[in-house]
Amino acid sequence: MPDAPAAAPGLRLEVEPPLARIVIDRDEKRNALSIPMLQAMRRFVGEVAGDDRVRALVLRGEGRGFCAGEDVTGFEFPDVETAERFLDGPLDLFLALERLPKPVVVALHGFAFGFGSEVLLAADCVLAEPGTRLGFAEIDHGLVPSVLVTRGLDTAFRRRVLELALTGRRIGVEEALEARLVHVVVDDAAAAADEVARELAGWAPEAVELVKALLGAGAADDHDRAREFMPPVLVQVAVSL
Amino acid sequence: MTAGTAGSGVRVERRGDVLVATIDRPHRRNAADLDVYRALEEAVGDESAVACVLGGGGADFSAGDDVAIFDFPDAEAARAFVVEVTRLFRLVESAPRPVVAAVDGYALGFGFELALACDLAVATPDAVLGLPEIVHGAAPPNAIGRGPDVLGRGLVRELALRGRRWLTGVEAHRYGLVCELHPADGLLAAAVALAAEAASSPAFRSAKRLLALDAERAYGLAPLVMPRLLASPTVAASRARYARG
Amino acid sequence: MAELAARPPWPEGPLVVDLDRLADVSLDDLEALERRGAVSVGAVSGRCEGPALAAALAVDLLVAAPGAALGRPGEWANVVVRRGAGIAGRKVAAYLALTERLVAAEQARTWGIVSRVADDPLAAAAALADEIGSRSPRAVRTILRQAHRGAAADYAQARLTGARLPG
Repeated sequence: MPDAPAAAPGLRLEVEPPLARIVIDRDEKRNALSIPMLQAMRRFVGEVAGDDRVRALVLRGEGRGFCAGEDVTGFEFPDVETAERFLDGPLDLFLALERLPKPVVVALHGFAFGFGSEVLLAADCVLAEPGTRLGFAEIDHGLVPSVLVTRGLDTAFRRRVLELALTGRRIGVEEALEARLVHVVVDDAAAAADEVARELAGWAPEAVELVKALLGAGAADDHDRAREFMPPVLVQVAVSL
Repeated sequence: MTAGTAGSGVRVERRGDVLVATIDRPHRRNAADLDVYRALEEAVGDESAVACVLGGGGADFSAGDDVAIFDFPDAEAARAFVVEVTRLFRLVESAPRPVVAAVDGYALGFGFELALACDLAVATPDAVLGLPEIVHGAAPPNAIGRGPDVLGRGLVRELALRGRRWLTGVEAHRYGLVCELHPADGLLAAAVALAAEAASSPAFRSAKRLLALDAERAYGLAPLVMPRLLASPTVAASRARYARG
Repeated sequence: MAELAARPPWPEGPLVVDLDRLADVSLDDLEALERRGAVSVGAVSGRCEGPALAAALAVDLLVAAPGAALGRPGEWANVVVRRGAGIAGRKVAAYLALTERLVAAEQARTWGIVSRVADDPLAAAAALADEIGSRSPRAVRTILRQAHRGAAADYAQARLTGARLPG
């Protein structure tokens, strides 16, 4: 019997052992993530980590797409301290996902922009539907996709990272496959993600932990670098989506 | 047991100045055991050859480590085994001659890691490459060490955690693990030609030294992390299942 | 408007590097190219070998004509090994550095070495450089610095192994 889903506005956690799902459900804002939603997501990841019944995590979106990015409408960062405090949220979340000693499977459909694309760099398996559009449009707002230009270099390699970050261009699944952001293209990503997650949930936990620990070793250092260079970029940038 | 003699599981032949070592244990899909490791080490270290090509006889490159050998009485025995296989990869990377993998059929686990360690790899379009260790409760630390330099971390993580998701030769080529695709009947000749060409490049030695600079980092993990995992009950149970069917 | 250059010293600001006309560079020049705070886009129509190949790996983005081909590093093999690995992985870098094989533009694009394939690479490179040149300079500078973080160590290593001396 699945647990009743825990919820924060626009975001919910479904626990259906051995799986758990974090579902973004704010279609009226194209699943843009507000600060409270990011905080809730961070809490959910912590709950999943501590729940021994859960052996794999699925991340997906309801509605028209996966996620249109962080909702930072009207945000300004008057000083470095404000910027640093803001950054802690998303960076801690990325670190928590990579450090989670359980497989993280992401199901993409529709669109995955900004955070929606960056989170893929912390995921273990990314399944996308054929028409999905991805991209890192931070540069449109004078910002920088910090996870892409730190952690992402080891996955997508330098020149693709530069092209995606400097142009802010939207790409389809074929290019996303070449960039190694997406792993498999499937017609029904939510169903396929559940299937993959169920399979991965059956692996020996020590083996999964070891593989993730070995591959996640540099994550804290990469995010620390982002903490250093991002605040000056954020300061006095007024952002609207 | 020396390379090329009956029982070592590795056939050795010459194509001109290039030594070709072929894993030949078709009844085990060219799965490797200690005799295979040692025979390959000998082949790769043969100073009379200008280059070395590693291939698989029959329809496969290598389906992995022979799980029959995962019979370790304790962690120390497991560690000794892991050190031996890591030694082979280090030798491939430090050999002062080109070592080229010719991959046809299955290259799983050890086979995948061997292809990663070689300087260059060519394959057939239908080759199948993957890391199924996790299915048996084990892990591929050498692939985790060396793989990200070749395929990027995200893709290695996916392959290592999914276990049963395998790359075709075409995909391996798209991702740069394999640099040329050839039909099966031309694969060995293409590998030999590539190896000979690399051997005659004036920059070969210094370029290969540069490539191997971080071999310690790449292959230092396995002896530290594998023994406990290999001696675990999950791996033993998986081995028993494999032996039955 | 992006500037066009076929030889060092590199101007500041958005830059198009004409790799077909680039005759020679030093390791210091390549390192300087990677240290710039504004975007550089390489353009190549024909054979891209030796110093042009090394420079093709140093620029931020690369536009190639469909008939272009990259390979034959010569004395630049060591630089190609290191900087190539960060762009297309170790095996592709080894393929370019250890053999005399040429990689065609479309294959180089699949492998992440070529950013765009275009019939008029110089025009396409200029358009790309201008587009990026119109973005926030601070954001561009930050992205470039992070992406090129490993360059200094790679060029230092290339100097140590002595295949190509600076100057």
